[in-house]
Amino acid sequence: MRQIRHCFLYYALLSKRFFKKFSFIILLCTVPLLVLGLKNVSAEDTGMLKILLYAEDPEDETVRELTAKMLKEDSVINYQSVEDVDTGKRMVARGEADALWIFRDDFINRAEKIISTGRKGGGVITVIEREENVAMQLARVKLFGIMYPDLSYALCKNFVKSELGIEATDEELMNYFKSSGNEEKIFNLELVEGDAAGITEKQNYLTAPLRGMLALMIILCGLAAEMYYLQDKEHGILDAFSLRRRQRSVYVYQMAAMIPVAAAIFAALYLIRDFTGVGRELLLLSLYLLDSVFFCNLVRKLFGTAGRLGAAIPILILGMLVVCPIFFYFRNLSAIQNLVPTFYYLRYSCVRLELGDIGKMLLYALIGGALDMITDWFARSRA
Amino acid sequence: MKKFRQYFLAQLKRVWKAFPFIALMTVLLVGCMAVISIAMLRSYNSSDKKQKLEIGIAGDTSNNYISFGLMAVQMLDTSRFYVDFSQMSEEEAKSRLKAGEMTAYVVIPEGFAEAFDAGEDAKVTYAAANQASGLGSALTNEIVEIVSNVIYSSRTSINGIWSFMDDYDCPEDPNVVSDDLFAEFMNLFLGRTKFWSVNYLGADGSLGFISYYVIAIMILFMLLWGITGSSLFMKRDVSLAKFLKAKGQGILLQISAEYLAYFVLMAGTMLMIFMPAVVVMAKANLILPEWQNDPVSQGITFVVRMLPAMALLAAFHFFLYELITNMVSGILFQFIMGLGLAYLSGCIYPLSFFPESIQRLVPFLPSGLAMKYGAGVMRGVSVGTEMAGIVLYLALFLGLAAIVRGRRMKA
Repeated sequence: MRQIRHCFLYYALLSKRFFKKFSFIILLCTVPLLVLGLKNVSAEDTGMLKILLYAEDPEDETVRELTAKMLKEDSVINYQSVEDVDTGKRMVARGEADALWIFRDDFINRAEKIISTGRKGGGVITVIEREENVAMQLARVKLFGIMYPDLSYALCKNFVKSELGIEATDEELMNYFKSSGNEEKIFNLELVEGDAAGITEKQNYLTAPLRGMLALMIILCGLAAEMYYLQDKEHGILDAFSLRRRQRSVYVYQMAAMIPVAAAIFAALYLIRDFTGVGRELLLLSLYLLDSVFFCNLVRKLFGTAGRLGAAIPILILGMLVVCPIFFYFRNLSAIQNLVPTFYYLRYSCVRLELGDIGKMLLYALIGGALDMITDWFARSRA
Repeated sequence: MKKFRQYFLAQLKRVWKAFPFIALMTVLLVGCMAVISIAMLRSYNSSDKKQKLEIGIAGDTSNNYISFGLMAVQMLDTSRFYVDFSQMSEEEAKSRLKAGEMTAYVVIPEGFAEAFDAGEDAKVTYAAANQASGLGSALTNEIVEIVSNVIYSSRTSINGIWSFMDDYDCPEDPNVVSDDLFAEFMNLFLGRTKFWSVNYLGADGSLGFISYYVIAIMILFMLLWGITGSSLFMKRDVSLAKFLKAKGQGILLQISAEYLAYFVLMAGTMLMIFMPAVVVMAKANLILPEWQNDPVSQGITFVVRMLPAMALLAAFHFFLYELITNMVSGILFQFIMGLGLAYLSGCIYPLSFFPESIQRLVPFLPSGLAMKYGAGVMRGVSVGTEMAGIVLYLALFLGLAAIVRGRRMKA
């Protein structure tokens, strides 16, 4: 009981040391504010690609419908109309836009001709790009998807005439075949067990990496607390303690630093609505904190001094940016991914949390704790 | 001047002591990255399935429309190289998605085919993980939208042809006709490139994709590298500074000497990484359009010419060291500022992915200015304006660092 009281007292003293620094309080407030700022910014018009649209014949009904559909679409492609081809070309050449799509005049007749003859003849759209890449290919597939209702109608018209041998007027055929392309989608998008995970919103790709970036902050905070502990040790602040208590006091350092940062992150996730319920988030965050404590302890023991640990941190962070699913997800790095607690946290934050998942995170802590205790015991026996 | 030189040399000595370990860590990082890249490339070559996005299909896929939809995705330019479909039970799909082995799965409910054929409002569940790597999910969602559009329009047409044949008393067998029409749709899909002609302008004054990312990775690394100097330059105690001031070594001279030593450490490390990197790029035949004449020497010249950008970001780090003296807050600030600026300045996703307001702001940020300077150097155009911006920022950060130190010394 006395030991626990001492522990709390030490925790309170260390917390006071942190909170006495104005910069620490500013930091804690900065996290949710920055995240909220990015969330607001991402609500503006964004897109992976910016595509300019130009119609050779602005009065063409089909082209007007197509461009209107593109302009109002919620997509990773950002469409914008241009007044003339030269402006569009200039923008593409300067890198201000990714491509210019020129809808040729007499659009539907040209399309029908291509379908009936099978010959390209310049196509119905002239695409101007700077260079070829996967994103531009995706954009063209998207273009085909948008044109598809008109093309399938043209195909049916041609089919009725050539295969069935029936001459029918456009008005007659329109009632049978014309699809607006605005029908209800047949795919009902669900985020994995969305209700179970508590995620209700489809995320913007700009804010999607925020949870991962914030999770890295916890690890970084743990490592910074380790450096703080090492510095205090070097300055003799912990000399009054026995070796065993000195070793154990590192947990108090970590908790004093990590808990306020975790609280700031909790608030940030709530503000950006990347939040899966109080209980679930608290449980995940607590398990992640526990795993991170042992991970950081082992990293500290590996590097030994504050200087070395400081030099290693950017490398560790860069490594984690690659192996954890923050910006990109590499599926065949599981051997390395399983060593990093951030990976478990990010994986389980988007699916239904089951006992097995909690067990895995606890097992990580158990193995980490055991390794930590063994190395401490070795250090004591050598002292 | 003599005092400045002595103080600078003392700082350099301090930095030099830390350099071997920093260099070792840097080599380790570059080594690890190289091993990971090679492993990924090898697995890509030997088993491309591992690299593909895997989509599970649960339920009945015998329906024509569904097979058409699946075929469509397999044939799309962008998806055929990275999408694989596997049929499985819904339970298996769920657990594999959870384990991160799949990107998404589709569940076709019982009776879907009949309802869909009858023109009823039938739905297929498409379940995707709310992954942190949102870009991949965004792309998959786009593809699903296209497939949905294609399937819907095709159904409208097939149903249309049946009604049409009924009304016009067509003697042909409707099933044969709809099969023929399906074949036509396939042709339409496979021959989709006939509908457009692509003209390439070439990179007229703008950077290509790889060139852009060479600069972006350099700037990202430089921004995050600020954490390294934390233990060396973050000082709570200003008694030495006070003593030096009393001996005639002013605050500005102290700051300049310490900053120069930090810059030498940063520049040394950066050159150590990026110079071999450009040589390896050239040997691996990864030649940027801007370095086509002589990839090695042009690459090395580029890295050397990036020194002003390094100086700018070093000054930014140095200002943060001076501003925040608490180890925990200092490192976290370096991280937030480094990664945040890198993210906003287009070092991870291209700048064009961001809203216009951010794109307008970025050139005025230190990281954005460094990116712009790098792009100018890479393209071989005049970078006078960017240089002026760098000098201004340098003066601003070092001036602010001096003011902060002055205030701390008075406190």
